[in-house]
Amino acid sequence: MTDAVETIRVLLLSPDAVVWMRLVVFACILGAVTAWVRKRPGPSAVLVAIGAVVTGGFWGIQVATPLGLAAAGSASREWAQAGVAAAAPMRGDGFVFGTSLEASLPASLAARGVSLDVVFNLPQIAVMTLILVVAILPWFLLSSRTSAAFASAIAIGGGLWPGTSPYPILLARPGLLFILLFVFAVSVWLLRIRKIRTALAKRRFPLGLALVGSATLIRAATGGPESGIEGILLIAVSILVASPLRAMIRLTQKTRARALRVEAALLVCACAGSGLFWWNPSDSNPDFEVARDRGHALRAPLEWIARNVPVDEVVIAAPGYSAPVAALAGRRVLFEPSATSGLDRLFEQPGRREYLLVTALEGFPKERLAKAFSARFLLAGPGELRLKQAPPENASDDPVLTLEPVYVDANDFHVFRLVKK
Amino acid sequence: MTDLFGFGIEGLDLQRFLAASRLVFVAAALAAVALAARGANARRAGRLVLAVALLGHAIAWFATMHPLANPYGANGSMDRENHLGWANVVSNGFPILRTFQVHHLHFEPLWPLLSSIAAGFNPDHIPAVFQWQPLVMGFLLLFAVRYAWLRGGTASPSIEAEAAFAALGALLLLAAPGDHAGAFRNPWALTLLLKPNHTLGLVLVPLAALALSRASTWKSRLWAGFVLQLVGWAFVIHMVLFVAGLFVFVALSWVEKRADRMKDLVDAGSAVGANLLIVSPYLIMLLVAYPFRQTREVPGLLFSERPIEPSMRIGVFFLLSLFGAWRAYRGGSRLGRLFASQWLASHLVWQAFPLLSLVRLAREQDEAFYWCRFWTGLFAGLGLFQGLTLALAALKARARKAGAGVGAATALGLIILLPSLVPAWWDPQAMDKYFIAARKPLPDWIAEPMKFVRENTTKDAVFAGDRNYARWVAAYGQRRVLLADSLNRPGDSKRRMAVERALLVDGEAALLEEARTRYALRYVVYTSTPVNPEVPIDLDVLKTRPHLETVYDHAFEDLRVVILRIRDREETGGRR
Repeated sequence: MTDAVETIRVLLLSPDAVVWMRLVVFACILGAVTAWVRKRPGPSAVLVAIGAVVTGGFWGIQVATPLGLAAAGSASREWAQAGVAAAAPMRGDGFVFGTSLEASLPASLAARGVSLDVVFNLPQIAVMTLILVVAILPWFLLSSRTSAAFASAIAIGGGLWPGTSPYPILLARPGLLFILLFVFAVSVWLLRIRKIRTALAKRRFPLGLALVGSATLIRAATGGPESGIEGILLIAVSILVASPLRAMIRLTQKTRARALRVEAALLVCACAGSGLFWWNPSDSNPDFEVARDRGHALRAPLEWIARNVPVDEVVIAAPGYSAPVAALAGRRVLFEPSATSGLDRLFEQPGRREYLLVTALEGFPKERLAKAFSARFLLAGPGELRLKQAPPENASDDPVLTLEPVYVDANDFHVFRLVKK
Repeated sequence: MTDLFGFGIEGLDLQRFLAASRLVFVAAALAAVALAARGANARRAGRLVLAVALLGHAIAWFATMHPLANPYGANGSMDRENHLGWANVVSNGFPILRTFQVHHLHFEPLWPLLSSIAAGFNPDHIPAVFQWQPLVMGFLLLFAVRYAWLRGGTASPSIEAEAAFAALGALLLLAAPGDHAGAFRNPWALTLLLKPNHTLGLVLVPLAALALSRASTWKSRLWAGFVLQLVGWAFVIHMVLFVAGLFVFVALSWVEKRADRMKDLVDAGSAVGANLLIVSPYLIMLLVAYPFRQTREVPGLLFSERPIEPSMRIGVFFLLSLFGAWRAYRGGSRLGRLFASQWLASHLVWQAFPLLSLVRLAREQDEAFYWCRFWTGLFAGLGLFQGLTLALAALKARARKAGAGVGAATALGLIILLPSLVPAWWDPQAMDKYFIAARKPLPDWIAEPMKFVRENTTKDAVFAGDRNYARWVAAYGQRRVLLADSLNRPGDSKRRMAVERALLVDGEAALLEEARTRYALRYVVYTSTPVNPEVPIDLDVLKTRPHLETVYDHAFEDLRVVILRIRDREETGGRR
């Protein structure tokens, strides 16, 4: 199964695959429009949903390492914390030695025993869940089945405003999904109250316009290459105004058949224009390209560490490896994550932790520091070792350990156990 | 560090500045919505919409230009650096029909002339002029569309508001939020900011259409042809695309068997004929200077999403533009028919590109894309307002009451458009690579040698040598060159290469003399890493050539740059 997914993933990495995916999705949209004109709103919405799942799946399956792990941002910290929480759920440690657990959705799930395969795929799961939520929400909110199908199709496509679909933000911040689900549940519960339902129906337009204004203000304040919360608000507006929009179309068209054709044209433009169809995270999300790389070279030593290093041990590794060690091997580290290893800087002005790393890479780590940090293993990446021939002159006053190689591979990754001379 | 307006930008909190710019626009637009909703008449509504458009463009322009230490496009856009070089040539008093490759015939001569006039023929003022051009062109575009529609658009009690919505759409619906990740990036930035000379074409197009719509006598037809040829001088591709639109206009007229189809044919034909006649010298220049015969592989256009990109990428606004174009065509005004035909032709031309790619002639796709977007944006604004007016009228009729009118349609139209208007979402820091490039100072290996060139060489000095570096000699050193990789090859390029080779590898005396006399070469500029050199040349060996004298030699961290003066014949004892 894993091999099959990997094969599909590799196939989808081809630039031509994007074109084919879009052609398939466009075919789905055209199918939906045909169904709509033939007065089959349900199948129409389903076809749009299939197109959306194809798009979401296409991009989701390409993510091979947790999205944002390689960057030094908050996502990287969340994955790192999740990895450590999964390996030692009861300890409540932060992934950096000496810190306490950082609360985040991935870490909470991992600490509660949710599989890391699920946790690390939260961004993709969030996108697919949002597709599901916006697909079914109109069926709860709108009394007319046809209007619900219409709203559902438009919302799945990304709403009425071009380039504002909210899917990209969920890829970057999957935790938002839970807020959305909460809002969704509250909305459904509130709408069971007749008074609220009637009031909403009466004030649909002012509410919609207020939401559009708010969405624009939010976008103006936050900026960025992709839409965020405002995309969700604009989808809400699209759902709210779907029914009056249909009424308006029927009012301005002479026959029902013409009204159906206008609605169908609206569907095709919204679904093929509002963002999901054109979404290309490899262009718009700086972390996506890195996440496509499975990082086979680094995986092997991390898997060895995960199998062989006790969970309470701290692994000495350069800051560039902090997040992968914590996230993928589940062991605590000495340093905050960094996008680059920054080794030269560490060698320039070493503090206690840096001193331990530096002396370890030179082959003679200080025993007192290793003990202080509970660190008995060193991960050295390609070209990092700077082994010295002899221990420092003051080794008799300040005892040092030596490195016992326990793992080495063709990619020049080394794992050493720190042992007494 | 200051921007080109003289404001300090050291320590500017860019994110806050950009967010504040967007918020100011959105707040102003919401205020306009509130004012319109209080019951504005058509004139007031039109002015409100126009004010939103003017303010929006100005804010987006300032948000982009203020944080820049260099002209927009510097440090990253070859096209913009070529334009800087061309404008410098004219500002230095050389013929307007020549590029910065000495004696090379131009194919875009108008814009350098206009830039030089605006700079008072002082090349030091050219960068600041370049920063202001997008603002001026955007304003002119708004006024041109509005003026044309007011004078020739479909008669309507709310024509002022319609004209303003059309102008707003043409300018600020040119791009959609996700465009920066697409193949042609953001059309607003690429047309208005990067290539304001192309915007001049868009400014003239509505006026050409208006002139043609009014044509009825030979005098007025010739006038239409005259205006049309101005489009050609501004940007010839827009003229070609506009003429394609005229073909569609006449074809539709005949297909419909309109009573005035013969008049349409004669008017359009004579205007195009007059245009071709007047613009023919330029077309000859273009045929000579532009590499038409060069073909280029553009793979994968036939089976791709490309055919639907200009239309579908702006979603529902495409449908609104279709509605607007349909209404304009059916509205009864000739200008409406002309505009709608242009809309249709722009999309038809776009559909021809996959076929053109089969014969490797799918060039200038980006311009056709922006052309599509211009007409689509224009009609999206118009269509939305007209749709809202119709819907509100239908609602009023059903409720049998008077009330909401132009003001309500304007308010609704503005708020519906607001999330999609460029200034509401434009974030150049995240969306525009030219912005990021122009924020950085010029690399020292360009800035310092070019300062030396400006301060130590005469304006008529011509440089040979590193052809890749040549465009910076023109753009930032304000001097002409023998050959530049960034421009098309001149007709005598083989001869120039021979002269260049003679200069660099100690060649024949006759060729060196030709360098001094025919091409007025005075200096050689060479770098440690020239791109595609004809022959590998060691800089230290080059410095020993008897006909060259080193005047500048500096090894920067990334590149070593050497400037050598070409000695006069007398200085070399008449041998070389």
